[in-house]
Amino acid sequence: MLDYAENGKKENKIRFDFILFFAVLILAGFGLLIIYSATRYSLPGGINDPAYYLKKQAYWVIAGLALFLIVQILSYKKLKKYFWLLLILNLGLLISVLLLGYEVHGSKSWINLGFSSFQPSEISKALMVITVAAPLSKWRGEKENSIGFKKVIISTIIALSCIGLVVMQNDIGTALIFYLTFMGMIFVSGANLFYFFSLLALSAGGVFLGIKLDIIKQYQLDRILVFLKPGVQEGGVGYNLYQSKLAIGSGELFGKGLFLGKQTNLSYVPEHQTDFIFSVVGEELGFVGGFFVIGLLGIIIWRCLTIAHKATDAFGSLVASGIAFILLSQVVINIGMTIGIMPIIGIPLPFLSYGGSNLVSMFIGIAVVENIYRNRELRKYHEIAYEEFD
Amino acid sequence: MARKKNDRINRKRIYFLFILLLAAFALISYRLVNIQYVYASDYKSDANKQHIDESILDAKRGKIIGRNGTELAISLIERTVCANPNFVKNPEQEAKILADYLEINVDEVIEKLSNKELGFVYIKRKVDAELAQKVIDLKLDGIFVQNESKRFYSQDFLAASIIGFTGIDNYGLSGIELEYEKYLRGVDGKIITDQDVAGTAIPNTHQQFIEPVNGNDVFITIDSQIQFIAEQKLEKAVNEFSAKQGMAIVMNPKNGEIYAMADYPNFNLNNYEEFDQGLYKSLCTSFTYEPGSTFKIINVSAALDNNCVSSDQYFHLPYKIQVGDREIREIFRRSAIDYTTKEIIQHSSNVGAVTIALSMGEKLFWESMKKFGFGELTGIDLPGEERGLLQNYQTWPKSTIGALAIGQSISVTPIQLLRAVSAVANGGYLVTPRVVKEIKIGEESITFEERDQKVKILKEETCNQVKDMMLSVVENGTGEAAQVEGVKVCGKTGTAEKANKNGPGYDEGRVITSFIGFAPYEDPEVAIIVVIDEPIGDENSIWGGTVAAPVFSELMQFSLQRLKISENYNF
Repeated sequence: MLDYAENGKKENKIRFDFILFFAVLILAGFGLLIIYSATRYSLPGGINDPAYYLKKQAYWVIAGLALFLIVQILSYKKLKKYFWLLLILNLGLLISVLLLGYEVHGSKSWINLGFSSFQPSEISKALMVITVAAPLSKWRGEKENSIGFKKVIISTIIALSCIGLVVMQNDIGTALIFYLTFMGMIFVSGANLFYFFSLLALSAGGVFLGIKLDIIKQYQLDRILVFLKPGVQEGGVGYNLYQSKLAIGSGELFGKGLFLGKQTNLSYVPEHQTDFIFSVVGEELGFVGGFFVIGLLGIIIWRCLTIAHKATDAFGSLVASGIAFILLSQVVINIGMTIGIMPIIGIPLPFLSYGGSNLVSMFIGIAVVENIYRNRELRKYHEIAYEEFD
Repeated sequence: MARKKNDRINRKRIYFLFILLLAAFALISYRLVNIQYVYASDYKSDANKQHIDESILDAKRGKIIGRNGTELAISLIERTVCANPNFVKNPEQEAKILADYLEINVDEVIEKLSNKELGFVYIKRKVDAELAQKVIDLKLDGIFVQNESKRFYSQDFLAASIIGFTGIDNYGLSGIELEYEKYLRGVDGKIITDQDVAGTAIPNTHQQFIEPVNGNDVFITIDSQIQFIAEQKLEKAVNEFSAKQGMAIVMNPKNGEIYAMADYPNFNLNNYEEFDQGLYKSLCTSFTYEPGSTFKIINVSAALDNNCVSSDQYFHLPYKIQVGDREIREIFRRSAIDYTTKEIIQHSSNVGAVTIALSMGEKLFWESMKKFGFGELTGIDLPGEERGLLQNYQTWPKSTIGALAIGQSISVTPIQLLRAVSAVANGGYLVTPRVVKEIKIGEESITFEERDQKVKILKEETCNQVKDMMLSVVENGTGEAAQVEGVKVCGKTGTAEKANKNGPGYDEGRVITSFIGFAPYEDPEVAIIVVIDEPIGDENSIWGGTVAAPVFSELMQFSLQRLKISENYNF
């Protein structure tokens, strides 16, 4: 019996996930169009070029594609081997932003690189997935990947240090994504559910203690919970939500037409090229446009989860599902907040929101997932069957 | 083989993630359908509401034009050059151009245009129309010209209470401005544009543009020259006799057109806020007073018309007469005398007037006064007219008929009395006084023909008899001061003591002097009433014949000349 994988032979089938790749490409291209529509009239002072934001984002898309290709050169397995290097890089980035960064909207998460500003916590999302996945998979010398107390603790410490550093930037939204992704990975890793629920209970306790000790302020809670009070329309976050809903609602089924969104063009919806980009889609292209975006994002996440499922090692599965988790949690929270079912926390919509750091980070994440798909070891049919009944 | 199997995760838990993915997307889609389909129309209308900016384009208010073509009230369009700094791309460059055109300081303009926090700044107000158009033609970013309509009264004080004025929002508040609001105002237009979150209208986003319809020009019967002379003479008389106030009306007795209607003191229409509000209303239509002897014309006309007395019938008149609980005396005469009806008017005999009234009886006298329009509005086209007071005869005490005979126990307005006396002048018709001749609507004009209807209230013969009597008053009676050289003038004096402020009876010192009449005798073309309220002076020199009659004379002479009626007569 031939074992293709054992013999290191390539399968004759195409070993590249075109669906994933093209979904990402279409979405990023669509994002450029929406960003152009959203920013033609709201340019920074002194700039007259209506395509200013479009051009900047286009450069980032090109940079993202280049990184995508570079990531394909090596096998993702090297990432597991050198994960500690990535860990140092990740922590270094997060610490440097605390030392060198500057504030935007109350969060100290930006570093000025001269030619552009850069948000390390975005890159850190992808890095954290890899650095948490590594200790949760099979260690050298282990006979099989058994996830015990030791592995859970190590991964928790890594995740906690990342989350902690992001919290110190006062970027609660991003920290929440980190947390959700980490919990998802613990769940998927196959660890005893006792650990999963213990961590859940501990984090609930932590939040409770934070409120009690006044580390988490009341106004922060109010801000997060404003979406539960539909009456709030004016001032602050409630106003953003109200305007966003007006934008999306007034788009109706087929939208007002590209470039014709008044809520956006007349600046009623704040942050319309970043956090509230979905409002622009909803207003100008209606339910059809919104569903198109959700559909593409759904396809991307579905492919990531499928690749996690097909991956032939725990590390690959965990990284792919971690990336899927980052995407899922961001999509649900971002779109959810524009339609009033999620708290309003400033996180971008993957591939659509204006911003280079997030775009590049997501391209790297998808690149790694694609790498996992390409480098999976094929299994024999009987083996699959065996596993299914295992 | 074994190696791989040992390095696996729990795949069943990935299935759970697929379910989570589906659930999340189902939830979002459900919510989107809710917002974008089920409640979409609500969101849409709320959104549209906040995008819309409605600016009103003022309709140009119609002019008020005098009989001789003088534009008494006009609307000026004031042009203001404004800017929205948010749309100004190059403040310095634009400021230089603007400063050049508008002859203003460059630095100030730069400062104004650079202030991006403001959505609106004035660059220059009251800009010449031609220059404003040039600025519009420059098509500078963020620079626009606003038109503001402002009412201007060319003659300041002239006919102020008749013309009236408008408020800040250009709505008529008094006089003709108020009465003819619906014609003068026109229909405002509007522009509906988009506005951004800062409330700034976005250029070139017109959804709706409704042109304003300008108001119609109102042509009035007032002759500004006669009005001017009336006011001037009135002012002179009021000041000469230190009187409280005065009023004069010059009217065409044949059709009720008012040539002049003057009050003194008066106010300036262009800054009416600075004057007492009491001055805003025309005294000629709202001042009610006891007419005194001028009312004897009404009394005698009624008696003659009803054949109760005849023109040359003699009456034996003692110097006093008892009516009910009241004794009515002559002013100078202290012995009995025989007067014809004509002489009763000529010498303004009180006892004679009472005797004539008694010949009619209460009911007939009351009915006659009603026919003359007392106690009713004349229907003049001005706001705020008073109807005066005429009690029903059934409620009269015994003395009332005597009091009415000499113009007491009744209150009238000057316009009511002039209209009643005009019936004598025009052959017996009660006319409707008016201040507006016509309104031009494009090529067409509205002339209010319903006002041409006249009610016949006196016989021609009666009128001729009363005219003769009134002529004798001026020729050689109490009203000699009213004579006009070369023209036969008919008239009647009036001096009424004012009712006591603090109770019943009359106040000795305070009188209202008046003169009413018309000319020329042969075919009366002008009827005038002059009323001077509370002139001060020697008791014997203060009466209708000395205070009001000279004003009447001067005003009559000027009016006849001005209306070219005098050409047929020899002054």
